[in-house]
Amino acid sequence: MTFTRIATFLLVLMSGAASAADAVDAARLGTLYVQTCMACHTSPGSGAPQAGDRAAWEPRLAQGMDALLAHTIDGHEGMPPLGSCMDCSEAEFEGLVRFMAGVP
Amino acid sequence: MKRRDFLAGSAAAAGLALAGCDSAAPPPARKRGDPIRWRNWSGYQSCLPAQRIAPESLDQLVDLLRKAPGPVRPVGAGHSFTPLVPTDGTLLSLRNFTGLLRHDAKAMTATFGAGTKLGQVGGPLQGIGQALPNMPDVDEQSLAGAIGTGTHGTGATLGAMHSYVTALQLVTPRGEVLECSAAKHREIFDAARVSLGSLGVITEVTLQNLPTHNLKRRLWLEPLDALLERFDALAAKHHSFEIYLIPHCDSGIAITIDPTDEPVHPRGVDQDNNAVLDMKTLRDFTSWAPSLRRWLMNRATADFQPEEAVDVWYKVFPSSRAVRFNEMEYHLPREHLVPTVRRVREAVEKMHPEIFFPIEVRIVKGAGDDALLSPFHGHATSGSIAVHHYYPEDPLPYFGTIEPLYQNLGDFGGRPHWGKMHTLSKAQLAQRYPRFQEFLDIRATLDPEGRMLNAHLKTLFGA
Repeated sequence: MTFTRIATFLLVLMSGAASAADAVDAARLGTLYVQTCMACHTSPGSGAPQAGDRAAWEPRLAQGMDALLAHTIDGHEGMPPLGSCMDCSEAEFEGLVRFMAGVP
Repeated sequence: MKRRDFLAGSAAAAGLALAGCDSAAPPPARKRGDPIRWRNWSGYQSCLPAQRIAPESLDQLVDLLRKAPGPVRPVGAGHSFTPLVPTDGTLLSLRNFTGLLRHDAKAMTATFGAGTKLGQVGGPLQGIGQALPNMPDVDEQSLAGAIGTGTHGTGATLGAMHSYVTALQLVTPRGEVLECSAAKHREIFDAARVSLGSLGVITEVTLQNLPTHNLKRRLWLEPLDALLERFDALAAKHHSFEIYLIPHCDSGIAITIDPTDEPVHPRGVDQDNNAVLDMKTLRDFTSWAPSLRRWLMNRATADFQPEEAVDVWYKVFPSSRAVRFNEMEYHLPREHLVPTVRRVREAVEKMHPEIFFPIEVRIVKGAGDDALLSPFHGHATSGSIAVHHYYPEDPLPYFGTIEPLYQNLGDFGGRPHWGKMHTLSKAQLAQRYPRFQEFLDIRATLDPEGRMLNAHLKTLFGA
């Protein structure tokens, strides 16, 4: 899927990944992003902070990654528990948050 | 005046600040490294499965279904409010069974992976010149979840989503892959379309569609008494029609959707979520004076200007629902709908000042719907009433008041939406579904060990 390839490319660029192992992780994150995050986090009417919108993510990042992970996994306000990824690990959720927030 | 404006204006008139009002949710207690619990969309249902998996292929799914620890529960978007999903065994995500797989331009059908979210169906269908005949107002559910629970939109001539399924692929707990349709495995097809994920895992769904088209959506406010008087006429006149009762307000909201050739005029950013939070604010700050709340609501709705939008079908049906809630919805014999709506309104007005979520009233075609567990089976048209409750607050007192109003209507009473909260027992459901035993027999044949049954489903379908 085109979106998956683009997301994967961006993830690899962001992480500066050169190793094959990192590229595999980036590919998985790219797939997860497209399958489970993109619908709301690229839709302004959803109320979700939009992917790549640093201004929207800054106050959330200021709460700390542990709080963001807790909100992602347990749900918070409009964010449903686990987003749409029913099988993601904690590390994958963190990778997805970092990608959308634009932080390494 | 737009909805956001009228409600914000009401709150302002009460001397209130609207910003940052949505703070009722308790802070998450989770710490890094804690086990990951599954929770449904509202957070009301939860479980800690032994494993959460997302098979990547049909072969892998077949293998997992044979060997994975049970109960095995498929999960889509987690948008059911009943405990259909919780398991301490295997939670199985269909996120790798998605997208448009093939289509038949002549028959106007399209086959999707069953894990495809409703919101991801419209674009691909538009690309092949097809349209769903109808959609729910929420499009976050997966196809398998929506179909499997009898999810529906509204319209006297429009059936629920499962009524447009012409074929499906079912993988049974024993690893059989069954292609089911009216011509093949007919009995299983009739059982599987609305089966709560209890027969196995549905992996592909073929939908009977229409040529793509544009729709015109019109929304207006009207005194509720007048709207209820006109309900039947409006339902008969319009392709799609629904109303919302606004709690503790004398006006209701009406929405019609009809095919059109008019120029496109998009809906714009959905204001419903802001409006709901504003209604919550008004509730919170006028609890000491209910008459003030009604006065403010009536004042604010007095000059509400109708909204109109024209767009391609999949941009017209769904609305954003970012304010989470728990929900109960019952389907009633059509002739009982409006009288029961009046009783629900009276109960809310007298007993539930805490309610601010609008109450949704819809109609669904049942003629020709032969799915064994379809709530619409046997009725030419059904009426439905859905009540919602803000997700951090206990929904049971409210639902406990409303649910009895749906009993003893017609022969046996209303039928609950399979994915929305209710308290009916297996015996009560068996009374209300003439082919319930037939479904149980087919289920027991496909899953003799009960590997697809969690605690909730055992109470409904167990021996």
